[in-house]
Amino acid sequence: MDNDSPFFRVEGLSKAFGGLQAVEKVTFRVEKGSLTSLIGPNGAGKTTIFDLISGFLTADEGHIMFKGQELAKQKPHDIVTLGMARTFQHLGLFNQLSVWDNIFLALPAKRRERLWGVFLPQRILRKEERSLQERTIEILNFLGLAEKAGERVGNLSWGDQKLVSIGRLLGTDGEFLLMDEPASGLSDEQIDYLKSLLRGLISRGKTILLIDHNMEAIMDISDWVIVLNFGEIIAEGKPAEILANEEVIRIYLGV
Amino acid sequence: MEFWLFLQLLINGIVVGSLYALLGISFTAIFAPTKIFHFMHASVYVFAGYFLYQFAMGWGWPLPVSILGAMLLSGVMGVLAERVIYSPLRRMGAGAMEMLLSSFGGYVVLQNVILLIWKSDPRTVRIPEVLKNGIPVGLLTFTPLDIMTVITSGVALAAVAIFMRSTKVGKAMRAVENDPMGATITGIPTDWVRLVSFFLGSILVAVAATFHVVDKGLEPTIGVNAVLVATVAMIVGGVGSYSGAALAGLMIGIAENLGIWQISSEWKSTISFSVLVLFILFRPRGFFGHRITRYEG
Amino acid sequence: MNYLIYVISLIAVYGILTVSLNLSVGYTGILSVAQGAFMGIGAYAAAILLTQWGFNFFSSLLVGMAIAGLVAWGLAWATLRLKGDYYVIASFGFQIIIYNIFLNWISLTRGPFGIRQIPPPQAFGFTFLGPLRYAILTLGFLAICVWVARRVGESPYGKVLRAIREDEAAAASIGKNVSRYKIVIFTVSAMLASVGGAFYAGLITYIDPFTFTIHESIFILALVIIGGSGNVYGSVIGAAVLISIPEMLRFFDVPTTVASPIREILYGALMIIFLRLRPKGLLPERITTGVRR
Repeated sequence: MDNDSPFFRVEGLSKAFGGLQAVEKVTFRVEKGSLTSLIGPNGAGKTTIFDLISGFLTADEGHIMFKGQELAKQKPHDIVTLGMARTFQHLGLFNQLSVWDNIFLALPAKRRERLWGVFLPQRILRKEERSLQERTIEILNFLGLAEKAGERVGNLSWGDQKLVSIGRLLGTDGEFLLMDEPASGLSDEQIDYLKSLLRGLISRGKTILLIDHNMEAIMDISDWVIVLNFGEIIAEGKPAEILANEEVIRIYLGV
Repeated sequence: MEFWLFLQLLINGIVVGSLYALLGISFTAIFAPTKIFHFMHASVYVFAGYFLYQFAMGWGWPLPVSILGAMLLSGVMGVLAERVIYSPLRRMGAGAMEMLLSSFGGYVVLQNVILLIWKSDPRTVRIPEVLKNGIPVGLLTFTPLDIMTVITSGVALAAVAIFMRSTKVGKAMRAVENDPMGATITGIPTDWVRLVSFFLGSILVAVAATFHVVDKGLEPTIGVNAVLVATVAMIVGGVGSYSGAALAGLMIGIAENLGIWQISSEWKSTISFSVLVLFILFRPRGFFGHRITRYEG
Repeated sequence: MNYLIYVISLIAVYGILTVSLNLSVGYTGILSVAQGAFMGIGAYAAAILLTQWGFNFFSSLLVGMAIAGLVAWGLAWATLRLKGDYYVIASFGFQIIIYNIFLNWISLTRGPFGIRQIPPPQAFGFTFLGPLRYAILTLGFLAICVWVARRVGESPYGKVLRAIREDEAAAASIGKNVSRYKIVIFTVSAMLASVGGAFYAGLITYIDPFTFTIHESIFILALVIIGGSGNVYGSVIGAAVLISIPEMLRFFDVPTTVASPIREILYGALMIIFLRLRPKGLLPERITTGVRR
């Protein structure tokens, strides 16, 4: 691990809404290939940090460095091109489109981003299309969604929708994946599946930063845990260290 | 240019501006708590004029009674719009787009009802001549009607301010405006509050319509312009700020009239709407309002 | 018989206008009330260039599209960042400004007097004189517009537009430049509207500013809603229904001062009713699943 140019680093990040300081001088790193979890009580600022990192909010101050690039003023879609992608708590799936389309549309494909690309004859597009289709099938199979590919996402169960949101994330081909509460609303069995899925992604070279409230799952799969409270980081370390941290215990039991 | 001309234009601007201020307040009273862009407000405005005409000229009622009648019926129209058009859509889970489109549809229907009943000829409502006689003051002129306009607007603004701050209903309206979720949870009957805001906004707009009609006459087309000015005033003043809307309305009236000095009068409305577009582009929150661009780039 | 052909041409013109608005409102969810203004730009471009400058109809069509496109690009670039309601207000203000320009820039547009005697289109020595030829020309352009809209709608590009309609932030999160998509589709929509406006001018052979008002914009919106938001064929059918039914009133000797308001009440009421009871419109949108094996 190279200390001079970390994979991802946030420094002095701050954001206030009106009089409320949502995020206060937050500084942390994420190592490449690790699964880092961001935990904390509701309202601690976790999703705000995600929004800041992924370009949906502009920070008041601070730096966000991803593979050596400053992200602070970039637009969300440009950040995706750099290799970082995120999910939303509410999923934000395209409910009127099929499972296939939700994933297919996430794949990077320069030519069809332009309107004139619509009118190109099929022959020219065929090669690009075929590789996009293969990639989509690959992701569908990886997630076990192949049979449901043609279904409207709005008709699926929550658990399946969760999988589609991960599929969409994978479709972007991002190396650094931000997941906002991936375990929420899932059964124990589904959470076990999710845990192995996430570790599987790590073994394929992805880096994951996730927010969640399911302590058992977090401590089980995380390499590193960051604890946030009232917009500030109050502790970080390996799962075992965090579990033993008195202040963390106080915050969670006190709430 | 002459100082006196400038002053006269300024005075004219203040008179017109106070009507615009009324329009801005009337629209804010509806938009701020309900967040509905109530385009049918234009219909209420025009109908107020035609109610007044029908009562005073058609049926010969005394003027004060006609005015009150028009105000009352307008208030009812506003309430009906909420009950018949917006409420059912909201219960269906419809979004802002559907509400707006229905509002447009309602406007079209009502507009043409006016055409069917009263045709498109311009009408006038007669008021005592003395009110329109110019009073010379040095090199300036204004009419008693002008003075009444300004005073009425001022009174209306003060009344709204007191209403919002001191009465239970007024405070409920502000609560709903600032935090609709919280208001529902703390037991404020939001449906009721909505009806009140539509009623209030509609009677205010009826007052504005009355002044317009007795001064400039009545035609079916006056509604759109009114709603546009109301919107400009509300946005420029900052959504949710009554004093902002009033101030903005005043400024627009003054700007339009001073503008005549350099630009010929047909371009008057273009001036206001250009002001609107500029504000929306560069300072959408207006003077006193909150940020309104969404955070996504 | 000529009257019937005239109605068909009128339907074709409004078909073009409705399809154009469907691209931004129906596919992408951009609620614009400025379509009347863009229609007017196309109509005035055609009228002015044909009557005063001796331009060819087809080249004035291109000029109109260029002007409409440029103006739309500027408007979209400046305003599409705004949240829904506020965007509509900007669109509203813009429509009024353009109408005022038509009305007051008398040296260019002859203001309220309008422009008369717009000549029929000509190409390669062939004149589209007479209702039948004009109808065929207009229907031809309608067919092109429908083809374009369908191609866009069924492509991945079109699906991204639906995605933007549903959740802009989510679309951005998968790398889509949402602003660019919206600006592009809005510009294309305006350009097609100007085509409709030009054909309108050629059909009626007389235009004045009073046609290109907010009322016209709302009418075209109603056609989109009633025909089926997001369905191109629905747009054409909506136009056919709403144009032909009131024209039939003429046959029953109903005077225009009554027929005209009745027609408007009809479409206003239908818009409200459809939004309540059948929001999908006459022909609902069909989005293909796009699955390949």
